Amino acid sequence: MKLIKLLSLGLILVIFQFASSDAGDITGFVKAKRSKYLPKTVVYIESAPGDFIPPEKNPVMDQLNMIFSPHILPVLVGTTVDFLNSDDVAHNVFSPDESADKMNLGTWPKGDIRSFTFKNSCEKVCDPVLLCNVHPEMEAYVVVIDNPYFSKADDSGFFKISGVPPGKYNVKVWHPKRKAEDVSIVMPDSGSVEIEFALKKK
Amino acid sequence: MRHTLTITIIGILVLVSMALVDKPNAIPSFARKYETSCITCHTIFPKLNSFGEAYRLNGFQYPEDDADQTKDEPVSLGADAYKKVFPNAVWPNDIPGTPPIAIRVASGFNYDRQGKIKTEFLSPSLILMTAGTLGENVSFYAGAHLFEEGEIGSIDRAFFQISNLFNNKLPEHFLNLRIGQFIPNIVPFANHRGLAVTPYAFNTYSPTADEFEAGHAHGNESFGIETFQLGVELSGIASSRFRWGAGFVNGSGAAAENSSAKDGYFRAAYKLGGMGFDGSGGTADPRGRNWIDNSITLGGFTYFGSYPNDGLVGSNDLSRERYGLDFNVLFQNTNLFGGWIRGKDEVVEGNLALDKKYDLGFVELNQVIYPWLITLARYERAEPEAQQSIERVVAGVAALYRANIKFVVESAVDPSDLNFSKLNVRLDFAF
Repeated sequence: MKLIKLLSLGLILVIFQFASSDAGDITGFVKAKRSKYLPKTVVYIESAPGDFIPPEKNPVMDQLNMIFSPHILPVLVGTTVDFLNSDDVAHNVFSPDESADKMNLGTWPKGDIRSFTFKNSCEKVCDPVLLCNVHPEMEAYVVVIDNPYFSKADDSGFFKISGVPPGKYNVKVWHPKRKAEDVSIVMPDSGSVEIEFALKKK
Repeated sequence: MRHTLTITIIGILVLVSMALVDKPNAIPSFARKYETSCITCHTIFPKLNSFGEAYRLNGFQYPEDDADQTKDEPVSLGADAYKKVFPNAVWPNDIPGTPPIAIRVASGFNYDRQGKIKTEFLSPSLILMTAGTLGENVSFYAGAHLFEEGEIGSIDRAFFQISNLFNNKLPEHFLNLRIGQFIPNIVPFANHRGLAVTPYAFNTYSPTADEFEAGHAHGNESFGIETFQLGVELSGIASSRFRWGAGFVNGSGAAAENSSAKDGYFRAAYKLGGMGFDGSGGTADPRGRNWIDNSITLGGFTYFGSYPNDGLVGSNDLSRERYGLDFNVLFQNTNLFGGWIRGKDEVVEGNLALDKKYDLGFVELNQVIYPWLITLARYERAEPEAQQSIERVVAGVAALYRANIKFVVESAVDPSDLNFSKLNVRLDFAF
């Protein structure tokens, strides 16, 4: 009986401990004069303590109908991205940016995949642009962030960063052509925080 | 056969343009691009309000964030990031999503109580315009009078402009380059941006004439500062309030070069109050009357050039000079503007080369009665040296039936004989 009481007490303590370190969400909206800017926005925490492991399953950036899809892909530093060609025509992927080692994956046909690991960690954010030298109008961005607390806004500007541990953070916005003021937040032990960003010309 | 082919081509162009129309507006290619009414930039077209002038000066781009205002998404000819790859790749740009073609049609009716022919319906003129941007800071305009007064017309202006040159080193709007056939940037009040049918003698008068020019100064007609010229021009805006322009042109209108040297010109203007030339500053009218821009603009210009010596005296080209001052006052619903010009043309008379000089001044008052109704009154006076002075009064009213359809009723008379026996009526629309 005493053992059961001790086990129950231990379980309560574990549950309490788990609950006290619960992570919360940062949610909100990005606003802009033109709605076309909204889904190109990435909201992220500038820096967060901890060691973070890239996902085991590689995110895919497709090339379909001569468009990179997704157009903007936020990833944790060290993530390997698979570049798929789903078009009937050959595509190339290269980046003129140092942050992506000025990589050039060559040109490959439909169905093939070539991969690249975005391993350059930046104090701020690395945003190498990706281009196709076969089709100059094609453009995409891989936004490399040094923590997993980021979210891409949807068409309405809504974003949600999940699992953020308690603490003080500086929340930033990345956009290829716009900018927004940083927002400082205090993530409470429980619950979520709502914030808002207004995009304006860089 | 040739005329049939021309008419067929023009007909196709008209039909294509009509097919592309979704909303009727002023220079409709711009209206379609931004999905905005012509009265964003015009009072009664083609007269520009201050914002429209800033838009024009900025190479047909919104002064602030053109991309933000563009609704008709352009077609990319290269991703913006290709700038990072230059010079190992072509500098990126884009083209309009919808072909930027517009048509303007004008027709008219004249009444002359004292004339042998008292009433006359005029042949319509048909103007094809294309204008727009080819990516950031690159713009173009081409206009052609397809039909005018019953005749096959000609290209009027056709130019290419690069705006905001070296804007990583120089202030924005400071340096623009224009190449092609255009009206020199010295003209403060262009006929084709005025309300009246009667052109400004300020722009068209020649000291060799004994009366005011009746028509628009087209390429091969007698010289006026508004004559279309072939050449190159630099212009810009400094500190929002100061505007300048300078260029070199053939000086022979739209015709081939016919003198040994290029003509040159320079103009400077300063604006006090209101919106800056670059579209910055100013106070939005609380009632949304976007023609209100309480301000005073003062300008000055000079033009110097030469033209062929067809006489028997000497072999050098004959010289031509113009100097002028102008002002433009906007106060509430009133716009008072005018200018003075002094000209000197060297001409051959008999076996002598003589200087023919003249002074010419004008003042015009435009009064907004309603957003769709503006009255105009103008007085012009030319004083050619050793000749009798010439005067003209133009009075009329311009009215919008719709944003892109207007009527003008006006009369131009000699003030010494204030007999308003002549009346011009014009119907003008664009789409």
